[in-house]
Amino acid sequence: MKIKIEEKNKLPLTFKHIETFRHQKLKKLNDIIYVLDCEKYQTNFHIREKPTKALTRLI
Amino acid sequence: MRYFNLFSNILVTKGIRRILISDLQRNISELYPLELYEMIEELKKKSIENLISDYDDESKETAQEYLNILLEKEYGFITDKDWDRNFPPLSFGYHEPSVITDIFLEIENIDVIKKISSSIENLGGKHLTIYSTTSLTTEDFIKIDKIFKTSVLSGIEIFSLFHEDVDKLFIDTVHKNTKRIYQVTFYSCKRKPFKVKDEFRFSLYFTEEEVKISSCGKVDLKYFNTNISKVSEAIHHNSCLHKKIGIDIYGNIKNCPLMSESFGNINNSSLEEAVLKTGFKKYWNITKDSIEVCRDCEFRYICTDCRAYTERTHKNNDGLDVSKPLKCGYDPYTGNWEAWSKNPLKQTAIHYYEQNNSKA
Repeated sequence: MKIKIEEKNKLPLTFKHIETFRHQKLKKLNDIIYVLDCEKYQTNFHIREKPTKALTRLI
Repeated sequence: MRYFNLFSNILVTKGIRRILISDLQRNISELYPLELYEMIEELKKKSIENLISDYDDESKETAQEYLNILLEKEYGFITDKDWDRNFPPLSFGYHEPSVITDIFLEIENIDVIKKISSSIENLGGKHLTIYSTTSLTTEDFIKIDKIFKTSVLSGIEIFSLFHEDVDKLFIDTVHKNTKRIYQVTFYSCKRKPFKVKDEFRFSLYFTEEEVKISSCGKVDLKYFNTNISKVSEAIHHNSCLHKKIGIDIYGNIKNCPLMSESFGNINNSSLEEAVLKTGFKKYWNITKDSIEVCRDCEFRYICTDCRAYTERTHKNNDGLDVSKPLKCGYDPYTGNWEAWSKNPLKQTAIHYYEQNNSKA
């Protein structure tokens, strides 16, 4: 996928302002956010989403 | 004087016998007696002191207990002198830019998916549900995912017939080579091939049930969803058919693959053309407030409707079916759940759908 837009102004580096919590527990697996490529929306941060309602009620 | 303020994210749905309070920030719904509804409404007009003084001595204690529940559950808070005007009600307006959000596909082989993929892009489809009548191989899973490699689709759910090749290695291969799939269910599985842990990119289920596409439309507590997107859509639109497109096993384009009316076939018409046809959107704005029985139900905004299987008892002025979903065993007038398939009043409709299924 070719992304046509380039970032003119790079985002500032903010890591030095981030406080880290070393003892914090790791997030559960289902809290992981998966990101996808999407050509139409010109992004590689298209979030994989589960629907907010029960699309099928088969079982 | 003290005043009770209900948080804006608290939605109270009044049923004929009970009320449902939905916390749209915590995404939890809970049932309460009808008298609490009256109290919540009164608290919007009166101070707490005035409200309590209206009750007789015996009821004052109960009223105070109800107030304590409202505070304990954090449905609201108390202010002095006046209500806090910083909590105006939410609009519950529903805005969705995609023409179609949900696609429900019944397939025999995966070639069909390729055929409709460009239409899904044009319509802005978000969720694709595939029900396969046959067993899918690892290659099939990977191919499906690859078709949508850079698509607008944000998730794919697959139901496949179970087969002996499905084992840990099979699932691992799918896990490593797919991105968009968020749920896989293998049906007609006599024995789970391995113990499923939460270790894959997608949720994985094995069910013994011989799931048929016609099994859809069940109404059950486990299918209720409390979240602001779902609830706001349900307030304004049909919670199942709004922005949905279905394709049955013969390629017929429908509102839902289980409905009879077709708006073309994928072999000679595009999904975009079907969506524009007269009548395609006719059920989109039939809310639960206009469906018989459901309109009196406290679960009406967290429940997902079904127009494919109904009790076939009522039509509105436009000739649209506004009967209660067939597969709902809940009676809001008694507050009881019963097995829907045994209800004598549903037998005529059950018989009708059985006959139609056997014809198909």
